[in-house]
Amino acid sequence: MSISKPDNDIIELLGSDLNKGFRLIVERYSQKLYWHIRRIVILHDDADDAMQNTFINAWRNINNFRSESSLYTWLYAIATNEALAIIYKRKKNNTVSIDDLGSWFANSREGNSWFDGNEAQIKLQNAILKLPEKQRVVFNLKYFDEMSYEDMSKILKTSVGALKASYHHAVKKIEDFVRNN
Amino acid sequence: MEKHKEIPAESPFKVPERYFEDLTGRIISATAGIEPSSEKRGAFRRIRPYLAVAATVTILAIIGFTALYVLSSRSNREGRIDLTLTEININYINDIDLLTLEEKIPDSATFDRLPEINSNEIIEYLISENIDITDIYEQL
Repeated sequence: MSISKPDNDIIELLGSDLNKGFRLIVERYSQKLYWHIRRIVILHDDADDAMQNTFINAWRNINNFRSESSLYTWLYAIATNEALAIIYKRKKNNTVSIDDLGSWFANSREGNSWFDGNEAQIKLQNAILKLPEKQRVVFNLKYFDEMSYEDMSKILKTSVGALKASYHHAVKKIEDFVRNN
Repeated sequence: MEKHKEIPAESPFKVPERYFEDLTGRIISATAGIEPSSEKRGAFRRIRPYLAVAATVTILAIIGFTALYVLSSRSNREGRIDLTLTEININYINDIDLLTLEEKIPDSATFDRLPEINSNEIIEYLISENIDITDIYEQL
Protein backbone atom coordinates (compact mmCIF):
# COMPACT_ATOMS: atom_id res chain seq x y z
CA MET A 1 0.00 0.00 0.00
CA SER A 2 1.45 3.33 -0.89
CA ILE A 3 0.19 6.46 0.77
CA SER A 4 -1.35 8.77 -1.77
CA LYS A 5 0.18 11.93 -0.39
CA PRO A 6 3.14 12.49 1.87
CA ASP A 7 2.59 13.29 5.51
CA ASN A 8 4.64 16.47 5.41
CA ASP A 9 1.41 18.47 5.75
CA ILE A 10 0.55 16.61 8.97
CA ILE A 11 4.05 16.98 10.37
CA GLU A 12 4.03 20.73 9.69
CA LEU A 13 0.61 21.07 11.27
CA LEU A 14 1.77 19.15 14.35
CA GLY A 15 4.48 21.74 14.73
CA SER A 16 2.01 24.64 14.79
CA ASP A 17 -1.21 23.12 16.16
CA LEU A 18 -0.89 19.75 17.84
CA ASN A 19 -4.62 19.10 18.17
CA LYS A 20 -5.42 19.88 14.54
CA GLY A 21 -2.44 17.84 13.38
CA PHE A 22 -3.54 14.87 15.45
CA ARG A 23 -7.11 15.11 14.17
CA LEU A 24 -5.76 14.98 10.63
CA ILE A 25 -3.76 11.86 11.53
CA VAL A 26 -6.93 10.19 12.82
CA GLU A 27 -8.93 11.15 9.74
CA ARG A 28 -6.26 9.93 7.36
CA TYR A 29 -5.23 6.71 9.09
CA SER A 30 -8.08 5.42 11.25
CA GLN A 31 -9.75 3.31 8.57
CA LYS A 32 -6.52 1.80 7.24
CA LEU A 33 -5.36 0.96 10.76
CA TYR A 34 -8.76 -0.46 11.67
CA TRP A 35 -8.64 -2.99 8.85
CA HIS A 36 -5.04 -3.88 9.60
CA ILE A 37 -5.96 -4.57 13.22
CA ARG A 38 -9.22 -6.32 12.35
CA ARG A 39 -7.47 -8.83 10.11
CA ILE A 40 -5.30 -9.77 13.05
CA VAL A 41 -7.86 -9.91 15.84
CA ILE A 42 -10.93 -10.82 13.71
CA LEU A 43 -13.54 -9.63 16.25
CA HIS A 44 -14.87 -6.12 15.74
CA ASP A 45 -15.00 -5.25 19.46
CA ASP A 46 -11.36 -6.24 19.92
CA ALA A 47 -10.40 -4.27 16.83
CA ASP A 48 -12.24 -1.22 18.16
CA ASP A 49 -10.42 -1.51 21.51
CA ALA A 50 -7.04 -1.88 19.82
CA MET A 51 -7.81 1.11 17.60
CA GLN A 52 -8.60 3.33 20.57
CA ASN A 53 -5.45 2.17 22.34
CA THR A 54 -3.38 2.78 19.21
CA PHE A 55 -4.43 6.39 18.91
CA ILE A 56 -4.25 7.03 22.65
CA ASN A 57 -0.71 5.67 22.55
CA ALA A 58 0.11 7.76 19.50
CA TRP A 59 -1.31 10.90 21.15
CA ARG A 60 0.67 10.28 24.36
CA ASN A 61 3.89 9.94 22.40
CA ILE A 62 3.21 12.52 19.71
CA ASN A 63 5.98 14.80 21.00
CA ASN A 64 8.46 11.94 20.80
CA PHE A 65 7.72 11.18 17.18
CA ARG A 66 10.80 11.92 15.13
CA SER A 67 9.91 13.52 11.83
CA GLU A 68 12.86 11.78 10.18
CA SER A 69 10.97 8.47 10.51
CA SER A 70 7.72 7.85 8.67
CA LEU A 71 4.42 8.64 10.38
CA TYR A 72 2.87 5.78 8.46
CA THR A 73 5.27 3.10 9.73
CA TRP A 74 5.21 4.60 13.23
CA LEU A 75 1.43 4.29 13.44
CA TYR A 76 1.38 0.83 11.91
CA ALA A 77 3.99 -0.34 14.43
CA ILE A 78 1.84 0.87 17.34
CA ALA A 79 -1.30 -0.68 15.83
CA THR A 80 0.44 -4.03 15.23
CA ASN A 81 1.66 -4.17 18.81
CA GLU A 82 -1.81 -3.37 20.16
CA ALA A 83 -3.42 -6.06 17.99
CA LEU A 84 -0.85 -8.69 18.97
CA ALA A 85 -1.27 -7.75 22.64
CA ILE A 86 -4.96 -8.62 22.34
CA ILE A 87 -4.16 -11.97 20.74
CA TYR A 88 -1.69 -12.83 23.50
CA LYS A 89 -4.14 -11.71 26.17
CA ARG A 90 -6.80 -13.94 24.64
CA LYS A 91 -4.46 -16.92 24.71
CA LYS A 92 -3.49 -16.22 28.28
CA ASN A 93 -7.11 -15.95 29.39
CA ASN A 94 -8.13 -18.97 27.29
CA THR A 95 -10.95 -16.96 25.80
CA VAL A 96 -12.46 -17.62 22.39
CA SER A 97 -10.03 -19.17 19.96
CA ILE A 98 -11.06 -18.39 16.42
CA ASP A 99 -9.13 -20.83 14.34
CA ASP A 100 -12.03 -22.08 12.26
CA LEU A 101 -13.90 -19.15 10.93
CA GLY A 102 -16.26 -21.25 8.88
CA SER A 103 -17.89 -22.96 11.83
CA TRP A 104 -17.65 -19.85 13.99
CA PHE A 105 -19.48 -17.73 11.44
CA ALA A 106 -22.06 -20.43 10.91
CA ASN A 107 -22.70 -21.17 14.56
CA SER A 108 -22.35 -17.90 16.37
CA ARG A 109 -24.63 -14.93 16.19
CA GLU A 110 -21.71 -12.59 16.32
CA GLY A 111 -19.94 -14.46 13.58
CA ASN A 112 -22.97 -14.20 11.39
CA SER A 113 -23.29 -10.50 12.01
CA TRP A 114 -19.74 -9.56 11.30
CA PHE A 115 -18.87 -11.53 8.20
CA ASP A 116 -19.93 -10.80 4.69
CA GLY A 117 -17.84 -13.03 2.51
CA ASN A 118 -18.11 -15.97 0.19
CA GLU A 119 -16.81 -19.50 0.67
CA ALA A 120 -13.49 -18.67 -0.97
CA GLN A 121 -12.93 -15.81 1.45
CA ILE A 122 -13.75 -18.03 4.43
CA LYS A 123 -11.25 -20.58 3.19
CA LEU A 124 -8.58 -17.93 2.74
CA GLN A 125 -9.22 -16.46 6.19
CA ASN A 126 -9.09 -19.94 7.77
CA ALA A 127 -5.79 -20.56 6.03
CA ILE A 128 -4.41 -17.24 7.25
CA LEU A 129 -5.51 -18.03 10.81
CA LYS A 130 -3.40 -21.17 10.76
CA LEU A 131 -0.25 -19.06 10.43
CA PRO A 132 1.75 -17.97 13.48
CA GLU A 133 0.78 -14.46 14.52
CA LYS A 134 3.79 -12.61 13.16
CA GLN A 135 3.70 -14.49 9.88
CA ARG A 136 0.01 -13.65 9.62
CA VAL A 137 0.84 -9.98 10.04
CA VAL A 138 3.48 -10.21 7.30
CA PHE A 139 1.05 -11.92 4.95
CA ASN A 140 -1.76 -9.42 5.63
CA LEU A 141 0.50 -6.41 5.14
CA LYS A 142 1.80 -7.76 1.84
CA TYR A 143 -1.35 -9.29 0.37
CA PHE A 144 -4.07 -6.90 1.54
CA ASP A 145 -2.14 -3.67 2.22
CA GLU A 146 0.43 -4.21 -0.58
CA MET A 147 3.08 -2.77 1.70
CA SER A 148 6.72 -2.71 0.63
CA TYR A 149 9.15 -4.96 2.47
CA GLU A 150 11.19 -1.91 3.43
CA ASP A 151 8.23 -0.32 5.23
CA MET A 152 7.33 -3.67 6.79
CA SER A 153 10.90 -3.98 8.04
CA LYS A 154 10.57 -0.69 9.93
CA ILE A 155 7.24 -1.73 11.44
CA LEU A 156 8.20 -5.24 12.52
CA LYS A 157 11.91 -4.58 13.19
CA THR A 158 12.83 -7.56 11.02
CA SER A 159 15.19 -7.71 8.06
CA VAL A 160 13.82 -7.51 4.52
CA GLY A 161 15.27 -10.92 3.72
CA ALA A 162 13.52 -12.57 6.66
CA LEU A 163 10.24 -10.90 5.69
CA LYS A 164 10.50 -12.11 2.12
CA ALA A 165 11.16 -15.64 3.33
CA SER A 166 8.31 -15.41 5.80
CA TYR A 167 5.88 -14.25 3.13
CA HIS A 168 7.05 -16.92 0.72
CA HIS A 169 6.39 -19.64 3.30
CA ALA A 170 3.06 -18.12 4.28
CA VAL A 171 1.91 -18.22 0.66
CA LYS A 172 3.01 -21.85 0.36
CA LYS A 173 1.14 -22.85 3.51
CA ILE A 174 -2.00 -21.01 2.41
CA GLU A 175 -1.95 -22.52 -1.06
CA ASP A 176 -1.49 -26.00 0.44
CA PHE A 177 -4.37 -25.41 2.86
CA VAL A 178 -6.73 -24.11 0.20
CA ARG A 179 -5.86 -26.99 -2.09
CA ASN A 180 -6.44 -29.64 0.58
CA ASN A 181 -9.62 -28.23 2.13
CA MET B 1 1.00 -14.85 -4.39
CA GLU B 2 -0.85 -12.93 -6.99
CA LYS B 3 -4.26 -11.76 -6.01
CA HIS B 4 -6.77 -14.54 -6.54
CA LYS B 5 -9.45 -13.35 -8.95
CA GLU B 6 -12.27 -14.89 -6.91
CA ILE B 7 -10.99 -13.53 -3.62
CA PRO B 8 -11.37 -9.77 -3.32
CA ALA B 9 -8.48 -7.99 -1.68
CA GLU B 10 -10.85 -6.27 0.71
CA SER B 11 -11.51 -7.92 4.03
CA PRO B 12 -14.80 -9.77 4.22
CA PHE B 13 -15.53 -8.55 7.73
CA LYS B 14 -18.47 -6.28 8.39
CA VAL B 15 -18.53 -3.24 10.62
CA PRO B 16 -21.44 -1.64 12.45
CA GLU B 17 -23.37 0.92 10.47
CA ARG B 18 -21.85 4.41 10.50
CA TYR B 19 -18.84 3.09 12.42
CA PHE B 20 -16.27 5.00 10.40
CA GLU B 21 -18.36 8.16 10.30
CA ASP B 22 -18.29 8.42 14.09
CA LEU B 23 -14.78 7.04 14.53
CA THR B 24 -12.75 10.26 14.41
CA GLY B 25 -14.96 11.95 16.97
CA ARG B 26 -14.80 8.99 19.34
CA ILE B 27 -11.03 8.73 19.12
CA ILE B 28 -10.59 12.46 19.74
CA SER B 29 -12.92 12.14 22.75
CA ALA B 30 -10.92 9.18 24.04
CA THR B 31 -7.72 11.26 23.96
CA ALA B 32 -9.31 14.27 25.64
CA GLY B 33 -7.84 14.83 29.08
CA ILE B 34 -4.67 12.92 28.22
CA GLU B 35 -1.58 15.08 28.09
CA PRO B 36 1.09 14.13 25.55
CA SER B 37 4.38 13.33 27.28
CA SER B 38 6.72 16.28 27.29
CA GLU B 39 9.84 16.55 25.19
CA LYS B 40 12.06 16.81 28.31
CA ARG B 41 11.38 13.17 28.94
CA GLY B 42 12.29 12.68 25.32
CA ALA B 43 15.74 14.03 26.08
CA PHE B 44 16.15 11.40 28.76
CA ARG B 45 15.08 8.78 26.30
CA ARG B 46 17.76 9.98 23.91
CA ILE B 47 20.56 9.51 26.41
CA ARG B 48 19.11 6.35 27.93
CA PRO B 49 20.92 4.02 25.50
CA TYR B 50 24.24 5.67 26.39
CA LEU B 51 23.46 5.34 30.08
CA ALA B 52 22.70 1.65 29.51
CA VAL B 53 26.06 1.16 27.78
CA ALA B 54 27.87 3.02 30.55
CA ALA B 55 26.12 0.90 33.20
CA THR B 56 27.00 -2.32 31.38
CA VAL B 57 30.65 -1.35 31.03
CA THR B 58 30.80 -0.40 34.71
CA ILE B 59 29.29 -3.72 35.80
CA LEU B 60 31.69 -5.68 33.59
CA ALA B 61 34.62 -3.72 34.96
CA ILE B 62 33.52 -4.48 38.54
CA ILE B 63 33.22 -8.19 37.72
CA GLY B 64 36.62 -8.17 36.04
CA PHE B 65 38.32 -6.44 38.97
CA THR B 66 36.61 -8.73 41.45
CA ALA B 67 37.78 -11.80 39.54
CA LEU B 68 41.29 -10.36 39.40
CA TYR B 69 41.24 -9.69 43.13
CA VAL B 70 39.98 -13.20 43.98
CA LEU B 71 42.58 -14.89 41.78
CA SER B 72 45.43 -12.73 42.90
CA SER B 73 44.62 -13.54 46.53
CA ARG B 74 45.19 -17.23 45.77
CA SER B 75 48.48 -16.63 44.07
CA ASN B 76 51.92 -15.99 45.53
CA ARG B 77 51.42 -13.21 48.05
CA GLU B 78 55.00 -11.99 47.80
CA GLY B 79 54.46 -10.58 44.34
CA ARG B 80 51.71 -9.16 42.24
CA ILE B 81 50.71 -11.22 39.27
CA ASP B 82 49.47 -9.50 36.18
CA LEU B 83 46.86 -11.61 34.50
CA THR B 84 45.07 -10.93 31.30
CA LEU B 85 41.40 -11.80 31.12
CA THR B 86 42.29 -14.83 28.97
CA GLU B 87 44.64 -16.10 31.65
CA ILE B 88 41.98 -15.49 34.28
CA ASN B 89 39.46 -17.55 32.29
CA ILE B 90 41.92 -20.40 31.75
CA ASN B 91 42.96 -20.50 35.41
CA TYR B 92 39.38 -20.44 36.61
CA ILE B 93 38.28 -23.13 34.22
CA ASN B 94 41.19 -25.35 35.23
CA ASP B 95 40.04 -25.09 38.80
CA ILE B 96 36.70 -26.59 37.91
CA ASP B 97 36.69 -30.35 38.38
CA LEU B 98 34.88 -31.54 35.28
CA LEU B 99 34.71 -35.11 36.51
CA THR B 100 32.94 -33.90 39.63
CA LEU B 101 30.51 -32.01 37.49
CA GLU B 102 29.80 -35.12 35.43
CA GLU B 103 29.06 -37.09 38.56
CA LYS B 104 26.52 -34.49 39.54
CA ILE B 105 24.48 -35.03 36.41
CA PRO B 106 21.62 -37.36 37.42
CA ASP B 107 21.29 -40.67 35.67
CA SER B 108 17.77 -39.76 34.66
CA ALA B 109 19.03 -37.00 32.41
CA THR B 110 19.28 -39.19 29.36
CA PHE B 111 17.52 -38.82 26.10
CA ASP B 112 15.91 -41.88 24.68
CA ARG B 113 15.03 -40.16 21.51
CA LEU B 114 15.64 -36.75 20.14
CA PRO B 115 12.40 -34.85 19.44
CA GLU B 116 11.51 -34.74 15.80
CA ILE B 117 11.62 -31.33 14.23
CA ASN B 118 10.21 -30.75 10.79
CA SER B 119 11.67 -28.29 8.33
CA ASN B 120 8.81 -25.84 8.75
CA GLU B 121 9.49 -25.61 12.48
CA ILE B 122 13.15 -24.94 11.72
CA ILE B 123 12.21 -22.18 9.32
CA GLU B 124 9.77 -20.66 11.84
CA TYR B 125 12.53 -20.65 14.44
CA LEU B 126 14.99 -19.00 12.07
CA ILE B 127 12.43 -16.36 11.16
CA SER B 128 11.70 -15.63 14.82
CA GLU B 129 15.44 -15.22 15.44
CA ASN B 130 15.67 -12.71 12.57
CA ILE B 131 18.04 -14.91 10.65
CA ASP B 132 18.08 -14.09 6.98
CA ILE B 133 16.82 -17.25 5.35
CA THR B 134 17.75 -16.12 1.86
CA ASP B 135 21.40 -16.33 2.95
CA ILE B 136 20.88 -19.92 4.00
CA TYR B 137 19.13 -20.84 0.75
CA GLU B 138 22.01 -19.38 -1.20
CA GLN B 139 24.42 -21.69 0.63
CA LEU B 140 22.42 -24.83 -0.26
